[in-house]
Amino acid sequence: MAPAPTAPLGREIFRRLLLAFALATTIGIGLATWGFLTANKRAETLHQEASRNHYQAAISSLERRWGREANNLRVRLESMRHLEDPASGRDKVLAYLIAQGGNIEFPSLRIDDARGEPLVLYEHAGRRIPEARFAADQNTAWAWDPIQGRLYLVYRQLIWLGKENGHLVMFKPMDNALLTQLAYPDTRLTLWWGDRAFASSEGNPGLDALARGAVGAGTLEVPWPSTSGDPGPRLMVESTARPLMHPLDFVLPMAVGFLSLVAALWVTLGTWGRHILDRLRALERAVEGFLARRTIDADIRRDLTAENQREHDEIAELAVSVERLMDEVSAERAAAAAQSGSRHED
Amino acid sequence: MPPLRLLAILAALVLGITAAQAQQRQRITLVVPGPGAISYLPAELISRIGADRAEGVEVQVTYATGGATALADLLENNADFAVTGMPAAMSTQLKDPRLVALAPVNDLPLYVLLVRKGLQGEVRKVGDLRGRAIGFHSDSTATKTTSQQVLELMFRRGGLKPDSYRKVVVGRRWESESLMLKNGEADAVMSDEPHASRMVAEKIAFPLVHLGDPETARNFAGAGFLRGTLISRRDLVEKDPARAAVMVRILQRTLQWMAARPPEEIVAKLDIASADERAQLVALLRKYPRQYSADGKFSTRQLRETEIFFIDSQAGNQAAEAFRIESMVIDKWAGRKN
Repeated sequence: MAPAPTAPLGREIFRRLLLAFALATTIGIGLATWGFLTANKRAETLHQEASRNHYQAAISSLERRWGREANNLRVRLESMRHLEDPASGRDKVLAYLIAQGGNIEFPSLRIDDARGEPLVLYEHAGRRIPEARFAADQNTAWAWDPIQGRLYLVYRQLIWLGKENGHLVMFKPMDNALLTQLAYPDTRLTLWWGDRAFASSEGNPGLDALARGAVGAGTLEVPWPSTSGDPGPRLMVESTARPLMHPLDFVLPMAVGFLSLVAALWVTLGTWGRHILDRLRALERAVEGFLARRTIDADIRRDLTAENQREHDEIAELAVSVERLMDEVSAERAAAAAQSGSRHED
Repeated sequence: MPPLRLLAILAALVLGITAAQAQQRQRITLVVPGPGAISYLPAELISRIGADRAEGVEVQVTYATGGATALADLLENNADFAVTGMPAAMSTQLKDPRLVALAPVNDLPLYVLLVRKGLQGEVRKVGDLRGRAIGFHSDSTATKTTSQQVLELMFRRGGLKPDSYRKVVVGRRWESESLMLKNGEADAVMSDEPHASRMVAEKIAFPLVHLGDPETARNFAGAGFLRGTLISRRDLVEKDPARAAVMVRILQRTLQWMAARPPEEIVAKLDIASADERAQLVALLRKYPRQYSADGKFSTRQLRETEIFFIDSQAGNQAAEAFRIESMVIDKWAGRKN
C-alpha cells in the first residue's frame, strides 16, 4: 500500500478555490470602494460647484434688488416732498415709514442733513441703529454692531431736502431670516464676520451646532463681494445632505455578488474538481487493487471503466492505458505461469 | 505644597470653570411684540430676574412691531421662540402648520380701542368710526394679528363691516402709535396697556371700548381668550425638546416670581426712567391682577374660549371654523388644568 499523499489533491483544489475567492473578493471590495468614493467625491464636487454658482448669483441678485429698492425709497420720499417742510416734514416721513410696517426692505434708516446731523431716525422694532462710516463717494458700507452682534449692509443715497441734498442711509440686516430665505434643502448657510459666525440659516441651533464643531460635509466659502472696498462677510455653505451613496448601499449587492461567486465557483470548478478527484481515486484504487491482488478482477475493471471511460479526456486515456497495461501484465503472468507448469510436466 | 498656594490654585480652577460655563451658556432668542407692552412684560423680566441663568441659559429678547412680525421672525429662524397672542398664532397656523403653543403667558386679555382726542364728541360708539382710518399694530395678508381679530369682532358687533373703514399700520412702540394718532394718520387704534392709559393721560386719545371692563367683555364671545402664549416651531421642538422644556421652565419661573411679588417690586426691575410711567404701570398691575397666568399651565376652559373667539372673529372663514386649537398645543412641559 502506497503512503498517503502529503498534499492531497482535494485539499489543494479547495485551497486554490479559496485563494481565487479571496482574490476575487479583495478585487471586488477594492473596486466597490473606489466606485463608492469616486461617486461620492464627484457628487460632492458637482454639488459644491452648483452651490458656488447658485450663491454667487443669489448674492448678486440680492444686491441688485436692495440697490433698486434703496433708489426707489429715495425717489418715493423725494416725490412726497415732506422733507422740504421743516415744520412737519419729519413726522410725515415717520408716519409714512410706520405705515409700511415691517414690509420695507430696510427696517432701519436715517436721514441726515448736509452736515451729517440726523433729521429722521426710523427703526421699526426699536433696535439700536448702528454707526456706519462712509468715505467720500462711497455708497455702500458694512456696519458691525458689536453690542447686538449684528451686521448690516448700509446703502447711502443723496436725498433732496428742499434747499440742499442730505443723505438717506438705509440699513439691511444680515440675519438668520435672510439666510433662511436664501438656503435650499440640505444646505446650512452661515455668515462670518472675521472669525465670528453670527447668522445661520438654521437659527441659534445652527450656530450652536457650529460652536460644537459639528460641521457638515463639503464646506464651501463664498465671499460676499465687496462693493465698497471694505472686506465683507464670508458665506459658508455646508452640505447637510447624506452622501450620494451610503456604504450600506454596497453591502447588500456585494454580499449577493459574493454568494453568487461562491456558488458559481463551486458549480463550475468545485464539482468538476471533485469529479476529477473521484475519477483519479478510482484509478488509484484500481492500481492499488491490481498491485495487491496481482490480477485484474471485476472491481478493478469497474473502477477503470465505469467512471473513466464515460468521458474522453486524458484521465480516460490513462485509464484505458492502465487497463491495457494490466491486461498485458495479466496475460504475460498467465503465459509465464503456463510456461512454468509445462516445464514441471516435462 | 503650601496650603495658601493650593487654595489659590483651587480658587483659580473654580473661577475658570465658572467663567467657561458662562461662556458656554446656551443662548435662546425670544421675540415679543414691543417693547413696553404690558401683556408681554413677563418676557422682558426673564433676564432681569435671572430666570434664564437659573436654568443655565441666556435668553435674549428681541422686539417686533406685532404678533405677525414676531411669528415671521420665528418662522424665518430669527428667533427660537415667540410670545404672541394665541389667536394670531392660530391665524398663521392656517397657512403654515409648523407652529406649536408651549405655555400660556396671559390670563385675561387687555385691549383698548382708543380714538384720537380731536374726535371726542363726534365719535361716541363703534359705529361712528365708519369711513375712518383705523390703526393696527401690523398688517399682513398671511396673518391676522390678535388685535386685528379683536377689532374686527368689535366692529362687527358695532355694525361696521370690514370694507367700511381704512386700515393703517401704526406700529407697536409708543413713539409710533402716539405719532400716528397725534398727526391724524389714524383716527382710532386698537391699543394695549400701558400705552392706552398714557395716551389718555397725555390727552392724545380717549378710550371707546376697554376689554378689561367686565361689562364690555360680556358682549364678546370668548372675551377671556388666551392672549400671550409661548410659541415655537414643531420642527425645532422635535429636534431639540430639551431647549423647549427649559424655555417653558424659565417662563413658569418668571410667572411664579411675578405672582408672588407686589407690583412695585415688579416695576422696579424694569428700566423705566419716568416716575409717572412707573406709577402708571404699578396702578395697571394692581387694577388688573388677573392679566398673567400665575402658574404657566394651560387651562382647558380658556383654550375652548380661545377657539370660540377665533371662530367668531373669523366668521365666514371655513379653514378657521374647522381649526381645532388642541392640534397645536403641546402641554407636556407646561401642564394642564381645567
